[in-house]
Amino acid sequence: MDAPGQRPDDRDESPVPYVFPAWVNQIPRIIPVATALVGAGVIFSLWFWASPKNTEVGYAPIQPVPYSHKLHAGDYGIDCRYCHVAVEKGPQASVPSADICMNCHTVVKHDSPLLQPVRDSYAKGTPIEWIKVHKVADFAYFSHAQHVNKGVGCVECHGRVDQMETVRVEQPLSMSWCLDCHRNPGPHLRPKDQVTNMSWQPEGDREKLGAELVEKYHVNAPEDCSGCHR
Amino acid sequence: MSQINVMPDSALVVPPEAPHEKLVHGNHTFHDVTELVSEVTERKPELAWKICLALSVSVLGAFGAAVLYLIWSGTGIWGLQQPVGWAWDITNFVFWVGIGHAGTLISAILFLFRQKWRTSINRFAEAMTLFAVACALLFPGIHVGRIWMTYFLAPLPNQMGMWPNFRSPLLWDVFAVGTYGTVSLLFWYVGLIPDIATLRDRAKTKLRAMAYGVLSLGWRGSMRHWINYERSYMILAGISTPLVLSVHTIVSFDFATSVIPGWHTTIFPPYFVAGAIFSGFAMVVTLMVLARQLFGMKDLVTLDHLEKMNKIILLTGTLVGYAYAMEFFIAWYSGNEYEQYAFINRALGPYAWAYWTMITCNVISPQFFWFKRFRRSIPVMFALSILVNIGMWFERFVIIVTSLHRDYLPSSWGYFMPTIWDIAMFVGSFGLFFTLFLLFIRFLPMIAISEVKGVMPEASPHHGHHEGHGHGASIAAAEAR
Amino acid sequence: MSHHHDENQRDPMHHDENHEHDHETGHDAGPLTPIQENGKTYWRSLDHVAQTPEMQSFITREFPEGASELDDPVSRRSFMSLMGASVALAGLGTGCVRRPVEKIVPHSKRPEDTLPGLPQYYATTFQLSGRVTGLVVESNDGRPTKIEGNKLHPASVGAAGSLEQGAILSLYDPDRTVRVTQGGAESTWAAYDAAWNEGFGALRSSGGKGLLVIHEATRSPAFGATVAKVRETFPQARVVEWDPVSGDETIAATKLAYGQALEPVFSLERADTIVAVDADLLGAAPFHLRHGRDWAARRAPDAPGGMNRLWAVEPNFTITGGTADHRLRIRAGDAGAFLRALAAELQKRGVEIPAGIAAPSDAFAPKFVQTLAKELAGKKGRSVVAVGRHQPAAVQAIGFAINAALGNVGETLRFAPAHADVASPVDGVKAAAKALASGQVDTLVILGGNPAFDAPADLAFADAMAKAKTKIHLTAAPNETSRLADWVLPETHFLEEWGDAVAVDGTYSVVQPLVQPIWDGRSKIEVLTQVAGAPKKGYDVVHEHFLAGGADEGGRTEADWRKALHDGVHGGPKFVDATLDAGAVASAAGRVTKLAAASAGALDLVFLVDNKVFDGRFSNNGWLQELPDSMTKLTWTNAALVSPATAKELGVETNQMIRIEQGGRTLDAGVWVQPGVADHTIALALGYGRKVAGRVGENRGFDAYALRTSDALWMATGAKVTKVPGTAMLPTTQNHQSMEGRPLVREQTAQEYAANPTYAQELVKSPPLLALWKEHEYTGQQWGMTIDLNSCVGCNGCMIACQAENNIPVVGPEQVRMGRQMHWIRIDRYFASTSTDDSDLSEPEVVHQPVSCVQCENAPCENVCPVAATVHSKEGGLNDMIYNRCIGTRYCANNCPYKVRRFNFFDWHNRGEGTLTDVQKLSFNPDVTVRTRGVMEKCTYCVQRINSARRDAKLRGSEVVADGAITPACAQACPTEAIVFGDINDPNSRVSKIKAQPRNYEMLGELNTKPRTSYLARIRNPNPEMVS
Repeated sequence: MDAPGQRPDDRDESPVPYVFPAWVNQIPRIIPVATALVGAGVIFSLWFWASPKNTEVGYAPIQPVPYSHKLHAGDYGIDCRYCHVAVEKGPQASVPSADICMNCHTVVKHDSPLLQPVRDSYAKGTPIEWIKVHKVADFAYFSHAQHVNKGVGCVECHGRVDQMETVRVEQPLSMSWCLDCHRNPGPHLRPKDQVTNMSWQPEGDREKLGAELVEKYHVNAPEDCSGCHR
Repeated sequence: MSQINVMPDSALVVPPEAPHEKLVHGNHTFHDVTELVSEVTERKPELAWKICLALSVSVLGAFGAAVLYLIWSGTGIWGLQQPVGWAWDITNFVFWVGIGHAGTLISAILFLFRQKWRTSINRFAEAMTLFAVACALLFPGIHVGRIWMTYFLAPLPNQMGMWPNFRSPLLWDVFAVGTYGTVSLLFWYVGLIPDIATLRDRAKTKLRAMAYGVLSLGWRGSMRHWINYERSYMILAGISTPLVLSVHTIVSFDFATSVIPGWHTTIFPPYFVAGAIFSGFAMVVTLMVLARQLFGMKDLVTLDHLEKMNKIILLTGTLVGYAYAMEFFIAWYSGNEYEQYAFINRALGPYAWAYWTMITCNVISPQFFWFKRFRRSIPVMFALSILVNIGMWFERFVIIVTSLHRDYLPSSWGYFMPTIWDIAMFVGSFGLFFTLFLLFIRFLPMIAISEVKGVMPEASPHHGHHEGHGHGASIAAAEAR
Repeated sequence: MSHHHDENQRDPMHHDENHEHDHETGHDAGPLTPIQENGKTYWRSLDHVAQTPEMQSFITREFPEGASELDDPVSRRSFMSLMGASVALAGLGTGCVRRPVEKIVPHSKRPEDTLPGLPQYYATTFQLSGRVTGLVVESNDGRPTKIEGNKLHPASVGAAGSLEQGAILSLYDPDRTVRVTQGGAESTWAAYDAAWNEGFGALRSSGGKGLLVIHEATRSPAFGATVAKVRETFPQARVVEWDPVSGDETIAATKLAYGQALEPVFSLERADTIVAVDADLLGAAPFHLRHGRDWAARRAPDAPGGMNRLWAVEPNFTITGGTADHRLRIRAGDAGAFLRALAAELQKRGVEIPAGIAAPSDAFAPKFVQTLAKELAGKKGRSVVAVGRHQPAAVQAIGFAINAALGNVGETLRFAPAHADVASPVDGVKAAAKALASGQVDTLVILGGNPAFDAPADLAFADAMAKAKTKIHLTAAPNETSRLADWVLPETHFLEEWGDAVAVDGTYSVVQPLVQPIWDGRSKIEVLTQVAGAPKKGYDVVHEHFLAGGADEGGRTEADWRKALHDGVHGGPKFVDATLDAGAVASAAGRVTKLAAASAGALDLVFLVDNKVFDGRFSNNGWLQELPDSMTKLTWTNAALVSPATAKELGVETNQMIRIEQGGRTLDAGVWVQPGVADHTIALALGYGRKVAGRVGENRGFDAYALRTSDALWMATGAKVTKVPGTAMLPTTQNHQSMEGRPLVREQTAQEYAANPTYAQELVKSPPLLALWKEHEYTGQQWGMTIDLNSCVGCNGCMIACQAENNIPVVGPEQVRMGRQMHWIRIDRYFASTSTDDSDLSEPEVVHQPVSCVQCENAPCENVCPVAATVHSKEGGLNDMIYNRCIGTRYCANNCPYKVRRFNFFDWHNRGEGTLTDVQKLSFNPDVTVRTRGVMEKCTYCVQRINSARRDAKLRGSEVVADGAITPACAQACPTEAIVFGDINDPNSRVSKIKAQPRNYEMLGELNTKPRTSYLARIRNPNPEMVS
């Protein structure tokens, strides 16, 4: 006298109203694998795909003027500071104003069509609208002068610009990336006179040199929040 | 008789000696119980239920809208200000977390203490716990200024190289309530599995069969299943027990670890836990009384059950009353003028009305339960349980708002007044609570069938041939007793 | 003319970079696409500007040095685009990923001595109804962002008041007059010039008959000279000065007492005893900043020369009265009688008061008068009796006579020649109104001001004005007058124009522009030269007048001019000797008698110059509107102030609406029961109830001008009051006035202090305190602050300084009522009863206590933040607040015992008072993040300034910032130098020395919060005979 709700146990041979097909039995085995895969996917997307390592690095916008750092800074060896005049004095390295370009280009390539925008800017005063490549958030206050004068080479953050046709972002410029250096500046320092030297290599142990330079330049990189945020 | 699935292993649940008092009234067989409980989920929903659902769903809708507006325009839509930076938002949070205590307490602690009378009400109470915790978890979530940044709370590696501040009680809070919610859910769900299986087997339609089939995780009621089931249930009960105490202890740290007079109190943890159980049980009583009336569960959820609940309400209510008194004593004893002012201000200040409402509801009203007459009177317990719920909401309001609105510098004293949005959110959270609840009673067995069977005489191996036993024990007679 | 390493400047190099060069394409305000704002073009498209010769010359004028390259349109354009850039990105607090694409817009030719992101400083001068204050203004990439005092200017001595600093917001007022309009229709200057020249011939031939020029009060020599020119060209014309609040009787008084127009100049630092008779020396008076500095110099109990004593006699509670050692409430109309009674007492004590002045009376607290007289008699030459400039000439003359008798003239009181001999200006406006009413005026030219709103009610100026045929109004913002004008001309802000001014002591200073006119404006001088027949540029007028002047100094050269531009001032004070005409004073004094007693049925009415919106001209200035009044703590409104006793008598209480009836005119106003107001007196601040004032200022408070008549500009008697239904809901920032006996502000009398100097420190005893967490290290430079409650007068200067420096938003009256004001530094004001009954506030004492974040070392806020958005900094030991990390749980604010944390409940900048316009964004300080909604904020000791100073030190290769190199905005603005900041780890720093004083105590130190800001107890210096 079976009432509804009766469920035979394993020993029961009576016919059973099965609700699910047999493959459903596989689900318990599938679940762990699936979880592992999805988990890995999520971790990847968060740790790499959504991180500055991916969102920032490699950004190389096309500029209004096809200026080649490789040519000017690399091949001709023009010092960074010739154009980025404010880098040692102020917070911003400053993008050169048209008149700086024209110092040379009134003579050199004075009729190159590529330089038309520069000549226009110089003549008409319409500023060239360069596209910002390296960007830190507006709530992070950064000073070029502060770093350059303490022996942090341009190359540390900007990479081998002297080898770039178009400037691209080399470093993530993320907060933890900044902190890595602020916590241990030594290995990222160089003699002040080598700051703009892209190809400088330390002779001997860089750690040791770094320690000396930290001493010499009174390097005391802030790790407090208010060092950069206010 | 359909006792196959209980017979062999019910011994695990019930010690051999028969229960002293009958926990189930009426002359019910196992089958009747199955019928009684399952039938609720199978018959056509009655009009009352439909109306209630419609009501609470619309309230829930309003709640949703209010939350969207909050996120859209900012926490300024509430009455918050300096110095009162928390008000109804956190009051509601603590209120709901408190209510969320009864369930797991009943299921876990009473289970470990072999309090068999819990069987008829634990499923119910656990459900309530979950839904209350759900409501509670909402408020810390939406009360922050920048909801879209709350992921900062997660202790995960990130490009900022930043961790959350593990010194902050608020962070512990997130973890504590989160854990509690998860474990309670598991505990509840594991308990449900056999009964869901029953529903599955009774299913008339493919859909129900499928749905319950998935939920019952292929339960077949085999011996092995039962053994694992009982083990895991026991383990989960073990895990839940400390959590019941830890959650509200940690919630109380939000206040106890601060420097604000009226918050900065070591008595908070026990006092909060007692208060939580107090409010939780009151809420269970409120709902039980309704449900057993509506769905004719009078035989399973008997007056004896309710009376036991009321006894605990009386106990915890008195504990809470003691805590109130002790706060004043300590304030006086501390000799700290700020502390003293804070409590004088509570009882006599601008918010005295709230304070005395709280005292009346929480300390005075439960005292009626000293009398058996009241403990067993449905109307009385219903009224009192509601009073207690009101009182406990005011307790949190008094602690949070009256302490904040006048602290150290008189120049910065203020008076908090709720806006329509504060009220909307509070009422709205009830919408969420009742929606979930109504769905639960409709689609899941609101009483633990298998466990109840376990405490019925038939479950006892010594169950003899005295079929007549209990015949006379009609409900009416029981009520009369 | 920019200040580099000028000793009174922060070196511009200190400044950290900002993002001036970036701007999102969305906001791209490139040079050829000027920013469109409510339909109008702001930043005139430069192409056409460049072509106008006017523009050419204007640029050269604005930047004489840089003229060479600024003259070239190119860099002007890029300059503009920079402005645009700043608009786009005034430090929005969000967005950390690359999108959207941002542009860098460099100069096409970089002006010399400018580096992107480094601020520059220019000296200029601010004039306000005859108050002249020298200023130094910070400019970020061409945007004036912060106004500070000029140390070299006698009226400023490096400090700046709330009005001076708040004025910068009016430059970016979105409701300014942006273009010429004729009869409401858009027009142009060209059209106006044509119209003027057309009428000019006719005027000329008639000798200017029917021409009426009304201008605001000014102390500008160049302007004066131009006025003279106008009189030359048009002998028949009428040129009238009208200014509702500068119209004081002092010049009349000096002419009466000395036979010449003079300005009294007080030297409070020389006075042992200061008596202020209805004179708000530290508040509203010209030179108030200087007065504060001098008064404070003698205020410390151990001050060289001893501690001074201040006696105040006044009808309303002023800042001066609040700081006084003794205060007597009298009716405004009884000041003269009081002085005569005082004179009588002095006479008794052998002071030779000229005959006919003294008039004994015991109507004024005899003990007070006698003790005061006795003290004065013993302080010959070392005391000063100051009488309010609004008191009738005769009364002020009596004051001069008393000073003369005490031998104070030449010691504590000196005289400088008055800028102009204007007999009480109200006569001028009366005549003007009469002429208008009788239809004699064809052409009415109003230069600035708002006579239709603020002229005496009995003149019915608005109606009279309607009768003029052509009505021209030069105004910076639309107002009640411009609404009635035919031609409305945009006026330049003082930061956009050239000018000059002479301080009351005769010091000359220059007004030079910080920026080209944002809108298409002209200055008063420029328009007036046109009236005179020869249109000239402001620069030429001022420059020429400067070079022409100075005959006494043996002529002036271009070099002097350059120096004047750099320093902001030229030459020093010019004092003159004057001999008292005792007879004249006596005969005038004879007519000064005590008023018939006032009663609940016949009340006195006192009109106050509001210390927020002034005469109403700052009505549309959110910072000033939201600034709580020093004594009432009311914001966004004025009120009928009555004493508790009078309130009881009238059966009214705070927020009750009443109808005040005065000479047939009525005004409905809300009551504010204010302790310290004379009984049977209603004090009403002017300048509220504006009807046409812009989005911020309209319909705030009650228009007291409605009751103000030409014969009773400052005080009226016989006012009646009836209750009317309604509640005013006056917004205030402080609801609780009593300190509840808590040891927050700690005070002693000088005598008590001598006996027990460490009282303040020992007032609170606590068991040894232990911190739960590891305490912070104490290495390197550790910043701290002291606030001297003894010299804080509660003037609110620090509040506006902070607001400007830190981009603090305005929230509006409704939000203030909810308790959501955002000021990082607030000034708590507590009343204390002087009688045995604590509830009796009829003769209250008042204390002010500035409170901002005290930078606790064991900060309660830090431990509770779940996301570590507020943490302690190792260097400096500050309590950092990181806005971009904050998620807004508000837990920190709850747990802050000092309640100094402020929460952005909404996006205030866009909700507080209307949405933020592009022009307003120009006013932001680029060195401070603009906080978004849902974020907590608070004082950080101006960490941006600290960082700038540290960076500068590092660049110079030193790790240590010199003491005094960092000045937080609040300390910088403070006239009395009550706030001192520095390194508390260096025992020799100024702040450490002050903290070592016995008066130094920590508020709520018993909580073991270890606040970095400590207070110096207030010391009162009552006359022992008054105490006993």
